[in-house]
Amino acid sequence: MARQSPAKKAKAKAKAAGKWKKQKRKKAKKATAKKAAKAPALKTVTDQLEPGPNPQLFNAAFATDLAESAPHYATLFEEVRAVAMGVFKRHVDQSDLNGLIPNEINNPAVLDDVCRSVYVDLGNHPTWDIDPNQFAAHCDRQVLSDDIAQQKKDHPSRATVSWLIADIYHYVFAAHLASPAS
Amino acid sequence: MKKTHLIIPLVALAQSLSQTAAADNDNCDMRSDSPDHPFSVLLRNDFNDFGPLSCTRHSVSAQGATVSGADNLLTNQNSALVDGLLAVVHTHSDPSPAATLMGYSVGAYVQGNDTYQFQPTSTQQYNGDTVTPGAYGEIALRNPINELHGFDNFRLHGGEAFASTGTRSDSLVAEWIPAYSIARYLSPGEPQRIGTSPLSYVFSPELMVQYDHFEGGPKTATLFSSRFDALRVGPQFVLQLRPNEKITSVAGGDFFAGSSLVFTNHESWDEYTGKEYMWTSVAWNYTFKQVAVFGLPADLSPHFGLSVSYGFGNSEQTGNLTKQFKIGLAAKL
Repeated sequence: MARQSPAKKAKAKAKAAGKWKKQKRKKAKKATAKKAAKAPALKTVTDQLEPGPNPQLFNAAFATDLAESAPHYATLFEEVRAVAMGVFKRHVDQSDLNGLIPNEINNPAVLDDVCRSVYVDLGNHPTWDIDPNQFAAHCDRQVLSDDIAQQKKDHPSRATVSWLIADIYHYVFAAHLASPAS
Repeated sequence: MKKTHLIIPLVALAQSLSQTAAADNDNCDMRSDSPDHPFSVLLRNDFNDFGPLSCTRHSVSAQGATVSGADNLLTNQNSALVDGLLAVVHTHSDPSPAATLMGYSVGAYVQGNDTYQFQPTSTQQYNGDTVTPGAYGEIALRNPINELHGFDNFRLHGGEAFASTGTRSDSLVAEWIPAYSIARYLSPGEPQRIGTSPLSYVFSPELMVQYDHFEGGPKTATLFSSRFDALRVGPQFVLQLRPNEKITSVAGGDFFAGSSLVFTNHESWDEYTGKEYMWTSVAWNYTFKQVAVFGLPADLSPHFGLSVSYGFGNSEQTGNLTKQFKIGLAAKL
């Protein structure tokens, strides 16, 4: 059998490391989804909370659906929305937050800021338990950036600020479910 | 035949590099630290858009290496210039919201400048070049003050410059570049939209410390007029204006979508001699759209563009007074 060159070996190693990271994230998302499915009070909402961005979920009626099916979590959603809007408003006008995601928001520093701000706001919240590791694994600038790119590709007209907030909420919710206290 | 043999590998190299570069001018691709692409090759004019959290792939706002014609308004000399910075950079970032070290970039670079004087003086040659190989590093640290919502970039780069005249000098540059999101229109280092207009801006103030040491050869730089070294400390302000996605809805928007305007002002004082140095410039960059242009394949076009600039003051490298207008072609990776 032919021996692999060191360059090929290094490339294979780097590829394996990348795959391992992806698999780890996939597994974590699967576990979260499993846990979510087990929570009976959340059935209507969690049924929709498949891992990864679900374009069907992130429509304008999302907040209304949530308020009807799980009012408790509608409060969490509102909390996340308020924090995210606060961050976004520091970069664009309010009127620019009603439509598609502005370029100024799809920026590493701003996406990092929104995750960090949600973490600071909800991390020590008396009502919500957020698992910091799960939160870090889900809500980060790269994941959000990838989600935005995917949404722009699959459903360009639905790559809105509302969708992005729901996407962030999705990750906050997953981190909440993953916390030992929930 | 020989020409074809040279062009094909060059195009293939550029195409392979372009796979990791921006396909869409409007987006900031952040995957520079992906395990599949641990190293980025950057071709630029300066270090301005380097950094672990910068949009180094945002090709519209990047200033590329240039091949240009220049007019020195002080000496009435015309010249042809090639200016550029080629760097190989490894970036890693930690997305954890609790992380203090948000990311780092390290790399090696070669900065080059070649000037062909059309009207050389008795002390000048027709052609002169300077090559500076060096190392670069940058870290982004989260600012502990939550209200600032931001981070501090600390950049360090240094190298030894070799001029064709025989002059050798060392340089070390340290920069502190804050990026905070305090309030609307009060977010240094971060993108801001101007009202509901199709224009956005990034205002980046920074503190720069430059240490230069003369090693040998003919001493022609003002920096070393009375000493063998110089320690310049002072602020730099960079204001970048660029269009946002709304630009396509205004007349001529398609053209302006590829444009960006950069104002730079740098003032510093030599701590040893007290001498003041100042450099002010304005540059307009135009990046070709992702369509076949001048025989370039569509996916390669955004790596090329036009650049027009006007700058006056003391040259950053030598401290010599200059006032020049440049127009040329830019290339960026």
